[in-house]
Order: sequence, then structure tokens, then C-alpha cells
Amino acid sequence: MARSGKRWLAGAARALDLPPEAFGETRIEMVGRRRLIIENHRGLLAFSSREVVVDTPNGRVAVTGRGFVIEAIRPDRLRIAGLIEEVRLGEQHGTV
Amino acid sequence: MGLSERLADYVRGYVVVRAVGERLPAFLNLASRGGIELRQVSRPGPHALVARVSASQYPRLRHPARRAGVRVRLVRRRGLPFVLRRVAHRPGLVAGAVVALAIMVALYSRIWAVEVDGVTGEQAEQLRSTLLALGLQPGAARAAVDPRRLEQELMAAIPELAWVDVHIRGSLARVEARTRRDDQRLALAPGDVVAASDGLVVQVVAASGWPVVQPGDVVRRGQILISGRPPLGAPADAQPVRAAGVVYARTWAEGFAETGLELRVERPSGHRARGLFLKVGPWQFRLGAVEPPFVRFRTEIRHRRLPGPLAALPLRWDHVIHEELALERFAMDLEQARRLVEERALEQAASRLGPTPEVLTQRLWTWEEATGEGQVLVRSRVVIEAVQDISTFAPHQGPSQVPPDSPSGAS
Repeated sequence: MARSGKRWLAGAARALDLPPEAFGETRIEMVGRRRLIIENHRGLLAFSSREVVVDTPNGRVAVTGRGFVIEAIRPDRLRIAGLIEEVRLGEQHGTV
Repeated sequence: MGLSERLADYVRGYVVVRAVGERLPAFLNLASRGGIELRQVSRPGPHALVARVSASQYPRLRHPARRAGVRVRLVRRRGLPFVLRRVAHRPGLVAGAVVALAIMVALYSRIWAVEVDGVTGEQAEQLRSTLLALGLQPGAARAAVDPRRLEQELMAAIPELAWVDVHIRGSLARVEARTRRDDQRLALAPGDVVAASDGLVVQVVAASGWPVVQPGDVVRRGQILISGRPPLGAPADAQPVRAAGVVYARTWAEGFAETGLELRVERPSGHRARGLFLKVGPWQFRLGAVEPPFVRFRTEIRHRRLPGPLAALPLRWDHVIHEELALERFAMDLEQARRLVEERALEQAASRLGPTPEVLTQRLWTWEEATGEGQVLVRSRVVIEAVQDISTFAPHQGPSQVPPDSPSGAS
């Protein structure tokens, strides 16, 4: 979808008070310090027991910590477990 | 990973794979886009990952592995489908499991113990024999036992039962019953109001039946006060009734007590002996000090069963606790001894009166007597005069008889 189309959809979602993730916005949910769920991702860029980097429409998400395990990976949803020490949001459309 | 997910994984069956290569994140992305869900992905080394994938999706991993340049190797198989596949090659094991299951089902489908609770002595024996006649005995098929029908048949067979509850728990049948109390059994039975004690009648109030005494009469214990039988001259169709009413009379109750100048009291010494009866179905085993090793003691028995659903098993153990009692002696002076015997004599006299006596007079005598052995005995006697209701109900025993000299009464 073209960038202008996405912007229009995001604007419409805001105007109608709809959940943005329903229109492709990335949703990141952290449960304590042991679990992170990322919805609407574009795939893994890097994965080790100490770091997970995920590409999303809103930019890179880099998670650092210890003992990371990907509990489940689906095209739209990623669940990470482990001791999370830091979550960083990178620039939009960047590459690793 | 939640328990439900683990259970679902186990039921569906999964394989653990090890992937080795440079482009492992790409392999994961390609697999997930291809509809293959990899779970519990971990990195044991810089160029390796271990993951779970369902057994049905495992063959489809070849395509993303080839595209990402990753080698995938199956490490192990887990889950119910693989267990069943292994077991299918061992007919002996399957046969053993089936036989064990059949034995369990057969054992569970029978009653192996019948417990009777709530009645004792002859009534318990009667209940047991009736249960036997109705088919409830060790070895009976559970399916053939209908607790509600059994309860109805027991109530019909034993009229003395007030209620009965038949409860099946596992292989244990528990029958709890209560017999009617006398006042319940006789609630509607015809009978007379008779004197509970000797007395001089003060007032007669008959609610039903025919009064046969009047104020001023001296009555003896057991004498009929209000008759339930129709008197001579009553209408021909008059039937025996359940006499009811109150009869107030002046009564005299006596109490007596004596004591030496030494008071003996039994107190727990702190020594205990414990024993155990282990009851398994019809068998009983004795463990420990079931017989008390003390001269003076009191005994407490506590019944125990296994907790929760295991209580259905025919297993029970009774803790027997014997507590030694030590005899303690206290010396009293004359004044203390007098107070003690007076209290005891008054208690004894009061216990011989009805529940709500109107005390008119109370006379008390206390004196000391020397015994031949040089001891002193303190004695007390009390006589209480009171007006009280002396009526009590007595059912008719034999055929209806007309009481002598019965005036015509109102019923």
C-alpha cells in the first residue's frame, strides 16, 4: 500500500477512534520484564540469546537482555520470553 | 509457555529440530510466512537454533531451509502420536494395560465394603440383615444398587427408622440411619398422662382426655392423672385418645451427701499411650497400645479416613488415646467440707425436681459424725418442697380399658 494510502488509513482510524493496530500500526506489549509481544511485525532481523531485533512498519525494535527464547513466531505476531533489560525503537524504515 | 499450550503440543505431537547456518533469522521469517509456526526457538550457539514444530509441519521446513541456506536436522520426537506409534509395536504392553484397566473397572464396579452408622446393637444387626436381604453386601454390583430405592425399602422394612441415607462412594457403601426417638414414635399414639413423681395435686388442666384426679388428691408415681381411654358413660363411638395436659402438685425432693475431710480429685497426669486400629474392608488390625497400660485412665477414640475422594476407599483408622489420671488428695477443714456436702445435697435434690419447679420451702441439715477409725464424716440432707408439673405421657400398652372411678371428662 502506498505511503499516502497508509497515512489516510491511519488518519481515518484516529478520527473514528479505531484501534490503530487494526490498520497495520505496530503494537508492542510488555508483560513484566519476562515477556514481550510484537504485533504487525515484518520479520526478524537478528536473534540471539541476548538480543532480538525485529523489523516493523514503524521502525526497528531492538530488545536486549538475557536468555531470550522466541516462544512463537507467526507472520503477524511474535512472542519473546527472557529477562528484558532494554527495548529500543529505531528509525523508521532503517536496516540492520 | 502455558500448561494448555504444552498439553495441546503433547496431544498433537511435535518434533524438536536443530537448524545450522548463517541466515537463521531469515529462515525463521520464511518459515513463518510459509504458515509454519516455530515455537520455543532458542539459540544454543552462534550459528544454530533449536525449535519445536508440529509433526505435520515438519516436512514443509525443507523449502525455507533451502532458500535460507540452512541445514535442518530432526533431534527428537515428542507427544502422544509418537507414544501411540511406539506402543502399537508392543502388543504385550497394550494387552497388559487393557487387562489392568479391565481389572480396575471390574473392581470399581463392585461394592467392597458396607458401613452402617448411626444405629447400634440390635438395630444395627437388623439393619445389616435387611441390607443383606435387599442385596447390598460386599461383592454386589454397583450398578444394581439404587440408593433411593434401597432407602425406601429399608424404611418400609424397619418401621423404627426415622430416616436412612444410603450413600455410595467408590467401592464403599455407607448407610447412615437414625431410629425414631420415643417421643416421635409415640407422637400420635393414644395414652395417658401419668404422674412422674409422688405429690399432692394442686391443679389439673386437661387439654385432651379425661381427668381422673382432682386438687387435694395424693398421687403416687406412675398413677394415671388424665386418662386417654373413654370412661364409662362415654358415647359408644368414643375412641381412645392421646391424653394431654398439665397437673401441678406439691412435691418433696430429698438430697443427701457426705464426705470425709479429704477430697479426692482425678486429674490428667500428662502420660499418654496411643494405639491404632487399622480397618481395611472387613479386616481389622491392631497396632500399638490398644490396651491401656494405666490403672486410672480415660480413653478417647478418633476415627480417620483418607482425604478427599480417597475417602471412598474402604480404609479407616481409629486412633485410641489413653490418658492417665492421677489421684490427688486435698485436705479440707470442717467449714469447707460442710459447704461441699451442702452443695452436693442441694444439687441432688434439685436434679430430682422437674425443669421449672416453684420452690416453696427448703430445709437443710448438716452434721458431723465420727467413724470408728478416728475419721470425721460430714453429712448433709436437704428437703425441697415445690409446686411443679408432674405430668408425663405413657402410651397405652394393652387393649383399651376403662379406668376405675373415671369421671366424664372433656376431650
